[in-house]
Amino acid sequence: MADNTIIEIINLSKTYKGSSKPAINNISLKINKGEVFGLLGPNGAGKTTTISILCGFFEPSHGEVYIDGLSVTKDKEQIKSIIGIVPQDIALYPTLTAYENLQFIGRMYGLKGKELKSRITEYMDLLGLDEHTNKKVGAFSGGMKRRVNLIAGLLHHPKIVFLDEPTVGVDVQSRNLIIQYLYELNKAGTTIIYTSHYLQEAETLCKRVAFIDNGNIITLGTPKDLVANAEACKDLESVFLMLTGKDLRD
Amino acid sequence: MNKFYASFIKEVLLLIRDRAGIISLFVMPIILVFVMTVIEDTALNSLVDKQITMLYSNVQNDSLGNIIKKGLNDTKAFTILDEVDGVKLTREATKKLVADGKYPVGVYIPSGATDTLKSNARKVVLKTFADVGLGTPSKVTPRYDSVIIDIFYDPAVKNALKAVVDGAIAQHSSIIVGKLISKMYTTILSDFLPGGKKLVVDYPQMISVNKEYASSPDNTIKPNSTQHNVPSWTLFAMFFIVIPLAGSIIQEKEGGTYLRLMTMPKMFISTFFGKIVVYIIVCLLQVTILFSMGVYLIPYAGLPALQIGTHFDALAMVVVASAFAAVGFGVLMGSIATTYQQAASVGVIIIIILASLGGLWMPVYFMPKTMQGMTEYSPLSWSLKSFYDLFLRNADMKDVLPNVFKIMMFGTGSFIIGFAYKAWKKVK
Repeated sequence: MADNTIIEIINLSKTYKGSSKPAINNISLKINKGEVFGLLGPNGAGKTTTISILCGFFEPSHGEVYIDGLSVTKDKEQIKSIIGIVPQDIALYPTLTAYENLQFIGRMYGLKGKELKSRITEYMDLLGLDEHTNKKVGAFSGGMKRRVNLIAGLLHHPKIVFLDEPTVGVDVQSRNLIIQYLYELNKAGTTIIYTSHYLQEAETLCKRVAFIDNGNIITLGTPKDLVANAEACKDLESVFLMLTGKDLRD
Repeated sequence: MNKFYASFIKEVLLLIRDRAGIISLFVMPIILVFVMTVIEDTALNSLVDKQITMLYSNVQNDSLGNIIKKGLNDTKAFTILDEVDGVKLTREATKKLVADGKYPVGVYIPSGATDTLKSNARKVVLKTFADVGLGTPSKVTPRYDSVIIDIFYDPAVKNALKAVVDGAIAQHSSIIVGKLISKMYTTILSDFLPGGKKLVVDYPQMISVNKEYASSPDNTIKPNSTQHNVPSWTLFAMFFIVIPLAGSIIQEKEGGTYLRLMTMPKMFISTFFGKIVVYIIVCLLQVTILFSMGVYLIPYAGLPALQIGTHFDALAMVVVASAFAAVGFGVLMGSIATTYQQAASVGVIIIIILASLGGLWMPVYFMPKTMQGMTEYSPLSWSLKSFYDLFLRNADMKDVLPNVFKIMMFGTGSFIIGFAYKAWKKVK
């Protein structure tokens, strides 16, 4: 692995049992340290499967993945402590308060005492939730839930963060705050792997993007290069439609 | 330890904020145990312990009828009515009242029954003497007039009640016949004694019956509705933990928290142990509350108090093993089911089947023979048998160990299958 590479995917495939078609098909990819990398594709393209394998949630059918030099199949426990995941679903307990949720997650990452408390307070302040610390998450708006969901993935200061549609279903203000915070996080050196259907968001946030469709990476590059290299395409969304087609996906 | 503590606290908070879960784990079982104990007490007593109301028609105040009536009264099993609405019962009236379903059983003593019996007894004795050359020889076999006692049953009456009535009447009739024949022998034998001497035979009590329960410490603990229902429905409530426990596992899977948990370092043991320990504590609390209710509260409803035996170490072992099995089953259902509804419906149906087979709904000895064999395959039966052994038979640790071993194996098997299924799904 080159010095600057933090994630290396080599010939990775995954076929679910009972399915004849692979969800991801022999993909290879390198992601650099400190990069914001966008993994973009239509529904069922293979984005979530790829992220699930990178996080150690699914076993690959074939291929190898190295994260910070560690194998996802052999060094799972070490990898888990350097990654953070922000799933698309709100992975929080609605009957617990924001503080109780974050306290549980922090403790599970080995944080405790004053350090844990100060991190929770700091993140809640940063994401505009300081007045809601002791309210139950079930009573939060969609945007507030998304922000707590984000904090839960960052509390242990991971080297790499996987964000699966972190801004889906939130208002413009919350989205803006989340994106601003992700910029700050990346500036501090955190590598971000990001999936979204908001291509404009990806265009401004990501240093590089890969389009994935039918389990294959169909293109890879900086948003600027992808737009420049595609004829008659004025933005990333039009490139995306040109490459993946306009047919509806299940 | 910090992770286990975090998981434990999280589970406690989730549980105490789940009002429906708290109601299903604590409030409903209290109501269930109380109601079932009272209802089954009535049902069991109607079969065995409670007095049966019996119509008794002995119009001519026949002495045979009076002796049978006294014998039935002495058993304290019957409330005997020889008149209804101030009218003495005839054969027809007795039959009609029973046929109308107003009374379960009626007995009719025919007129002249005692005279007929005496005559028969005399004929028996005279023939016996004649056959050995005493008295007037007779070549003709005497004709005996049978005394027919009618017993009328309501068709809805259970066989157990019929057996009680039939047995009581047959027993007292036989005693009377025996006494009559014996008396006749002594009377007629006295005729052969010189000097007008009378033969007097004193019959001592030659057989007496000692009744006791085989193995309780002070022979006072009786199998009753409390002894059956309190442990039965407590076990049922413990296994009902499948609903909140499987629900908690499935909500984590559905809500995405499971994905987050699976990506945390060394989470599996701490998270699952945190969950399992909380639910085992819930089961132990259920047992404490429900058994305390059986001991202290049930007597206020006029029912016998729950007797929990004297071997508390063995009792603790059975309770912990049963809690382990119940939680294991909850984890299994939570792992296999894909939705909360699936876990709740399938889990509850399985518990009801296991409870039926295990003799929780009704004691095993009420079941048909074929079903009694099936009880061997229900973990709830193993637990219930252990409670019976401890409460009714004064069993100790070594007596309940084989069943405890089976219960623990069921729990362990459930955990293994549940975890293996999760692992298999991950690879798939």
